[in-house]
Amino acid sequence: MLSVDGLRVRYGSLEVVKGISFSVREGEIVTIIGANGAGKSTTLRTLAGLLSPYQGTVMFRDRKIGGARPYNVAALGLRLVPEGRQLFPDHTVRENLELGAYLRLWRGERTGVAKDMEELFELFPQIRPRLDQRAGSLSGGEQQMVAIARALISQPRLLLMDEPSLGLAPMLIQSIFDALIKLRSRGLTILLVEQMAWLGLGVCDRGYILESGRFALEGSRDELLRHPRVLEAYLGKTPRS
Amino acid sequence: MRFLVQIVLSGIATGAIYGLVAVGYSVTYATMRVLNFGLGMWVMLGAMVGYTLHVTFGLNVLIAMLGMMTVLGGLGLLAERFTVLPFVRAGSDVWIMSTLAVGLLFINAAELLWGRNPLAIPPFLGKDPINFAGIGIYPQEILIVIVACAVMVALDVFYQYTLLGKAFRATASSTEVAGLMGINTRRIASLAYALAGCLAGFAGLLVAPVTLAEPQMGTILGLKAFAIAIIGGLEAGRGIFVCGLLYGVLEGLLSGYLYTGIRDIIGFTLMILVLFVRPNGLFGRRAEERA
Ligand SMILES: Nc1ncnc2c1ncn2[C@@H]1O[C@H](COP(=O)(O)OP(=O)(O)O)[C@@H](O)[C@H]1O
Ligand SMILES: [Mg+2]
Repeated sequence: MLSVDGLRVRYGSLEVVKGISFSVREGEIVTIIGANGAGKSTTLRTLAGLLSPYQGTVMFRDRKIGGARPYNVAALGLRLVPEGRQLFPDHTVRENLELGAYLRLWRGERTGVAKDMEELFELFPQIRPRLDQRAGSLSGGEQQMVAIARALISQPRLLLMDEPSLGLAPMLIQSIFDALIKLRSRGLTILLVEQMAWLGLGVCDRGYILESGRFALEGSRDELLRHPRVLEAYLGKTPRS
Repeated sequence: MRFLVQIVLSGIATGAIYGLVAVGYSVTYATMRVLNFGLGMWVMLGAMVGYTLHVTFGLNVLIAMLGMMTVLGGLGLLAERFTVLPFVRAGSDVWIMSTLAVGLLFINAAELLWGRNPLAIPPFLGKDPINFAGIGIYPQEILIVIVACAVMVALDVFYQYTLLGKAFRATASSTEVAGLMGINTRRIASLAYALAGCLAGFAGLLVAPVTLAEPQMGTILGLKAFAIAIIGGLEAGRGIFVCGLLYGVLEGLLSGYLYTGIRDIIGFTLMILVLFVRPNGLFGRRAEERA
């Protein structure tokens, strides 16, 4: 579904993503784990069309999308839930969801969108009572749920999530990740980026460890969870001998 | 007393015109941080094209209005594509010059096509003032106020209740995030530019029966409306329109009771004073209020 080959991204002359290759297959949850500043957001923003690659190719559903405009990428069914939620703060929650469904509503799928909205309220019951509030007035956890719902309502083929746990209390993180597990069971394809390794590795099928713009490790969830380097550097445990 | 009431009433009508044009500045500024510095000349072009359709071709005023807005909307799309986008894309500020240059081009074109002499457009609802308790009001002035307010309401309905309007506001809030929603922010930018041109042209055709249509009619008007847009706070549509109304009344009072020459300098004096006290304008939000 998504394949990235030799991707390099620069800010001016500063190279932040230094030649990474990876893929995401249909129905998988793939996670990229990395410390603050490793280049996770830069990678996702490039995939979503917000940044242009300096080198390398990005293929999504057999089309080259490296350097394409964000709205063209979105129209192909790739959705980014950006770091820090990035709701439209002065729009109501309902309007945020409508904007998530912008392309569908434009195609006249009003009833379909309304039906999917109901389903999303089952996944995130906290959203419904807030529908007519300004999105900016919601708590961080509620905003994250709206941000995810806003992406889901577009019926994405591939969901990119940039640190959904950022700045949230453990209880809320739990409910967000519970929702991710439900979404996985419905067959949604997700590329998840996390600083907190146990969270990211906990829900994924496969993972990559990003260090200073390069992959240090890659493997299945179990391989990574057992890898001494991951245990030590990312899970804070001393490796068992 | 009668004099005062009369001044206030025509001040409101003048102010409604200023308000419409000033809102035109804010439409493009809010969505893409670009201003059409030649917008006053779009006012003039609206009046001129309206003159041709309504007076020369004898079309019904409503049809002439629609036709004029189609012409100006089309020109707006073209102007954005060729005189704004290339510079914005290159990260250059040259659009400040190029938007003004388009306006100056309009003046030259108007002098060639319509001549330099003022052209009269008959008032849409008859010439004679309506007497109301001894006060004479021109029907065109009443029409201006009603229609301008209706346009503002329509604009509000567009922004608040239509999908495209919500996408305009989303693009104003964050072009990046709007793009992530699949909103073609490029198209929104050119539509906003066209909308601003239409608003200005609409104001021009509306006011032409009062002021006459001539190539320079929009020059000072455009500057005043710019001052009003700044005073109101560039992103605050409704606030800007209200400022326009107040400005028109103030201008009427000052030139009525002091002397006419003062008319054209109060705008920028006020603008500078307001910016001292509120750098984001009267209705604009401060940067820290935005988050
Ligand atoms: N707009 C920018 N301009 C210059 N450098 C940037 C910019 N954004 C991020 N960086 C730098 O790129 C590196 C990677 O950033 P980022 O992709 O946000 O990391 P992560 O999401 O993994 O924390 C950091 O060193 C950061 O300082
Ligand atoms: Mg990040």
